[in-house]
Order: sequence, then C-alpha cells, then structure tokens
Amino acid sequence: MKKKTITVEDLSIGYITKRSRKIVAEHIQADIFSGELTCLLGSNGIGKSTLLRTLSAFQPKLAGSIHLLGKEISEYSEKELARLVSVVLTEKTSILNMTAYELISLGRSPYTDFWGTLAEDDRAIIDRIISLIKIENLAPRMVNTLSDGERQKVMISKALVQEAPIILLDEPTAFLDFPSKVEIMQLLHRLSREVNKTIFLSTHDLELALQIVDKIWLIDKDTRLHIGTPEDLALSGVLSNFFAQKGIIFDMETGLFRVANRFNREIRVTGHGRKYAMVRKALLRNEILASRNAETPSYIDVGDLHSPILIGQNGQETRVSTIEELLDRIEDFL
Amino acid sequence: MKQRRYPLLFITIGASIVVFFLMNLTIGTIAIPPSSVWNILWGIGDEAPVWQNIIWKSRFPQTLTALFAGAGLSISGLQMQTLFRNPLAGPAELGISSGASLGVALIILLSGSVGGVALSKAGFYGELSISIAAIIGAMAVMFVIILIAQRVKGNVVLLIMGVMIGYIATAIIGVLKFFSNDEDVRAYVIWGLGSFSKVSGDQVYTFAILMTALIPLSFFLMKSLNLMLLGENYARNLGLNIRRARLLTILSACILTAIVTAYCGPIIFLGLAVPHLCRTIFQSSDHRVLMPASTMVGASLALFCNLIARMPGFEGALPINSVTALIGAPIVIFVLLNKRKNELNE
Repeated sequence: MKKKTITVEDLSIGYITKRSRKIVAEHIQADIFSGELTCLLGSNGIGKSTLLRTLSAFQPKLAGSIHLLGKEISEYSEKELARLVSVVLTEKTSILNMTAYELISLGRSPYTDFWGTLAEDDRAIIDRIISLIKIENLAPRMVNTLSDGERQKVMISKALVQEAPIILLDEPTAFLDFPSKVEIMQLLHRLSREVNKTIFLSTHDLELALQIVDKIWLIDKDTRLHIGTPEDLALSGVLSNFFAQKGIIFDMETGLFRVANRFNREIRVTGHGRKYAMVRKALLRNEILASRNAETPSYIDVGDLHSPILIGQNGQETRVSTIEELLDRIEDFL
Repeated sequence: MKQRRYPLLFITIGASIVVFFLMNLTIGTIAIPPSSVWNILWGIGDEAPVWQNIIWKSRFPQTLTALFAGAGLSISGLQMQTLFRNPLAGPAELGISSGASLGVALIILLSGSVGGVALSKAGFYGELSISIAAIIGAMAVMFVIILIAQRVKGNVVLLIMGVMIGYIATAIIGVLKFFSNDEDVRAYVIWGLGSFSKVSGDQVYTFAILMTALIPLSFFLMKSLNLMLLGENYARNLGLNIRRARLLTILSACILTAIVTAYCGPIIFLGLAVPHLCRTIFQSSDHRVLMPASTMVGASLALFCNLIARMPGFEGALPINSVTALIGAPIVIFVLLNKRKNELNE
C-alpha cells in the first residue's frame, strides 16, 4: 500500500547565520512513500544529516516546500509534529538509572498528561511495540547496560510508540557490528511493510542498503539527488559512477560492490564449486589471478571438499589440506 | 518490584525528617528533654520560660530554616544536573551563589570603607540589607545567564559562562576585600561560611512561606526534565518547547538558590550531593520520583548537618558549610564508586 506521505518541492537546505547563508543543497524535488524503506546515501559532509534535520523540523529550510501528509511542515505546531514525525538519532544517549521500558515509555510523552503519567492504553501500546520488536527481555534492563545494537532497538521502539506515521533515522546502523546492522535493517524493512510506516534513513552501509531497502536517494559529488530502486540506479550507471574509484568495482551481475584486487601473476586452477571459489578468492587477495584456462607451468587442483589440494609444477607435486597451507607453499611453485 | 519499594523509602525518609527535626529542638548546649519540647511545641503544660525562649527564638527558626534550605537547594541541584546533563552541576555552577556573594560583599565591604557604617553591627536592618543585597546579586547574575541562554545553543557553553561569571564575581570580591578593613572582611567571611541561624524572628516565616510556595511550583517541570534526559533533539521531537523549558528550569533553580543564599549564605554541597544520593537510593532517573525524593532527602540531610554543627561542644564552633562538605563529599564519592561497581557487575 504505497501512499505519498512526504512531498519535497524545490527545497534548499543549509544553515543561516547572522552573516551568511550556507546552502548545502538546492532544488531538491522528491517524494517519500509509506510502506517503503527509503535510504539516503552520500559521502560524509554532503548534507545527509542536514536534509534529515530539515525534514524533522530541527532546522528551518532555506527555500521551497516540504509537505507532510499534504500540509506544509512549518504550519504544524511542535505538539502536532511530535505525533507526525519520530526520530532516531546518531547521538548516544547515556542515561543512568533508567530502564529500557521507561525510556520507551517517554515516547508516549506527546499523548500523556501534564505529569507524564502512563494511562492504560499507553501501556498497551508500549507492550505491543515491545513484542513487535521482540525485546521483551530487554525491557526491564537498565539502558546503560545494553549493547549498541540493543540500545538501537530500544530507540526504534521509542520512535514507534510515538505512533507517528513518519520515522526518520540518522545512521541507525553506525557503531553496530555486522549481524546487528543486518538485524536493524531487516527490522526496519519489516516495519515499513507490517505497520505501513514511512521510514527514511541515512546510512554508510552501502552494501546492506543495496540489498535490503526499497528506494535509494543518492546525493552525488555535485550534490545532485538521484532517486530510484537499487536496481534501477545500478542499470542507469548512477551507482557505479558514484563509487567509481580505484579499488572498488561495481559488479553488474550481483548489483553490488566489491573490492577490486589487482594481480600481477597468474596460475591455472582446476576444480569447481565452493572450494574452487574460495581458493580463487584467497589467491586473488595475494595478487594472483586464478583461472581454469590460464596457460602457466604451475597449477592447482582443488579436488573435492574432503580431499587435499594439489599444487604442482614441472612434475613436482605436493598436497596441502588447508588454504592457509596452500598460501604458505604457493611461492615455491611460481 | 522496583515500584513497590518506593512507598517504604518515602516513609523512611519522612520519618527521618521528623526524628531529625525533633532532635534539632532537643539537642544543644542546653539539653531540653523531648517531653518538654513536645509540650512547648503544642503550647501545653508549663515549661520554663527560658526553655520556651530557646525553642521559639532560636532552635525552631533554625531548624525550619535548615529544613527548607535543604529542600530548596536539592531541587535546584537536581534541575541543574538534568538541564546541563552534568553530574557536577549544582546551584553554584551558574554563578548564582557567586552573584549573591558579590552583592553581599559589595554592601558589607563598601558600607564600611565608603559609607563609614559598619553594617555587620547594624542588627536587624543590617541583616535585612544583606539578604536584599544577596537576592539582588543573585538575580543580576540570573538575568545575565538568561540573556546568554537565549543566544547560545549548547548547554555546555552556558555552563562555562556560568562558571566564568563566578570567577569574575570572585575576582571583584577579592579586590573589595583587599581595600576593606579587617572587621568588615571578617563579617563577610563569616557570612560566606553559611548558617541556618542567620534568619531571626519573623523573617523565618517569610522564608518558610516563600519556599512552601516555590518548591511545589518547581514540581511542574517534572515532565520537561524527564524529556531533557534524552537530550535536546529527542526532547524537541517529543514536542517539548526546549527554549521555554530551559528558561523555566533556569528560573526555578536560580530563584530557589537565590532565596536560600539570601537567608543562609552560600550553602555548599547539599545541592550537589542530594540528587546523586536520591538516584542511588531510588535507582531511578524519573523526576516524578526524584523531585519529591530530593525535597525530602535534602530536608533530612540539612537537618542532620545542622544537628552535627550544633552538637554539644561544637555549638557555634562548626560552620554549617564545613559540615555539609564533610558529609556531602563522602556521599558523592561513595555514590560514584558504587555506580562503577554496579556497572561492572551488570
């Protein structure tokens, strides 16, 4: 169920100080839809955070318009915005003596009374979100004892109990280890589908974004904004242009990036399957290109999964059982 | 499980206030038996007029002052610590106490060397003018701070501004001291040591009424302070008007400190130590718990400090600030060490 929730027209973002007006990006034209995970990519300092801060009304826009659910952002009061947009920020909030449940419950503040007392239905909503994010075990724990990934899930829960149709996240996967990054991204993707929220995040985790998100916003070096599905951007060459630099290759087959290994030697390798791929990868890392039809005096036969690997040259042969050993011995055969 | 402990804790602290209050009335160089204190308080029986005088003219006003000063400073400290998200912030950190001190230094030291009047010996009017000078000094600094608060964004900058204003005030006081005669300097130094017995007669009741009105008012900030715990951006996103909340918090903390300082001199350490103590006792950051807790623990601890300062043998010898520091500093150290340990255990 795609629905246009944010419409940006001819938007200029940046900072106004007393003396000057620093424009970070201008003429931004875009829509963000609900039920879709949209991801903002771009190098450091290009204006990702500025755009997010402008969309969440933390800083004023310089020109143009932002419509949230059909109404101009500046026409909303602070109280109304709190029920419309929720945020998850990069800053690490270190709070002592507060349980995860208490932190999440602060997300209900726009709805609670003067003293911030939780009503029956506030508690019901909090419990529902806690089980949606599957953090029942974290709820009673003190926030300062949580790992970075756990804390991020708690902050996302806080954003969800706020019951805003739009959720903006500034680099939610920064500082996380790889499994947590994947978990958070998949969680956000699931949320965009299940609760039909408009989720917009910025990230540096390109690889993950290309695999998980529905829509990519890419700000290139000239601060031009390209929007499309990861696949469309791959086909149109925007992605490969953006990251075109020594050492990175955009692999059209997979639609992903990989590190470009340089090589200066070659070797003939026979075999197939996973083991062949791994041997090839290990050799490539050591600047040796392995291929089935290289015409070199030395050769490797990877065998099958349980047999040793054979290295040979001019009738001299040796067998090794691991790739590590292979790498240790390979120099003798080249 | 955690929730259920709160009533018990509050009852215990409440009881300690009552006990310390009565002990403050009973213990002193002249021991008055608890039963007589009870009779005097309720105006029954016929106790010796000397005892009645001691209770009503000296001990009761002093005890009441300690109670309200402790509560006020602790709330002020809690508000500052949350606003600045800095565990070392206290009522003194925004330069409020320094402002009050500067006001008092100006009036005590200048009246002596310029006006030729020894204000320290002027009795009631002397005391009154010192209180007024303290309030004016504190308010002046407060307005400067509020002006700065409207201009600068970061709270760290504001905190540093407060500390700098404190330095400037201290420097001016130093110059004033240098040019004043010994007697006035001594009067100023004694004021600076703080005391719960400066307030005499009916002034105590004015103080008590002011504090009874202001402390509940500061409770209105509980929800805002809870949101501020999350940091400025999250608080704003949850619909908090940061500018207004910051202004009200500074205003509340400053007024409480200014009034207490006017009546008691700069009392150190209570405002810093009590919020830490409450967070540890109640294992909570929720201001709906911490505000009443700080009020009560602050009152209790101030009464306890006053009790120590007035122990037979010490009477008049121990300035209240030495006692609050001697008791407050170990509390802060204990709380911080304990916190480390808990973090490691969990």
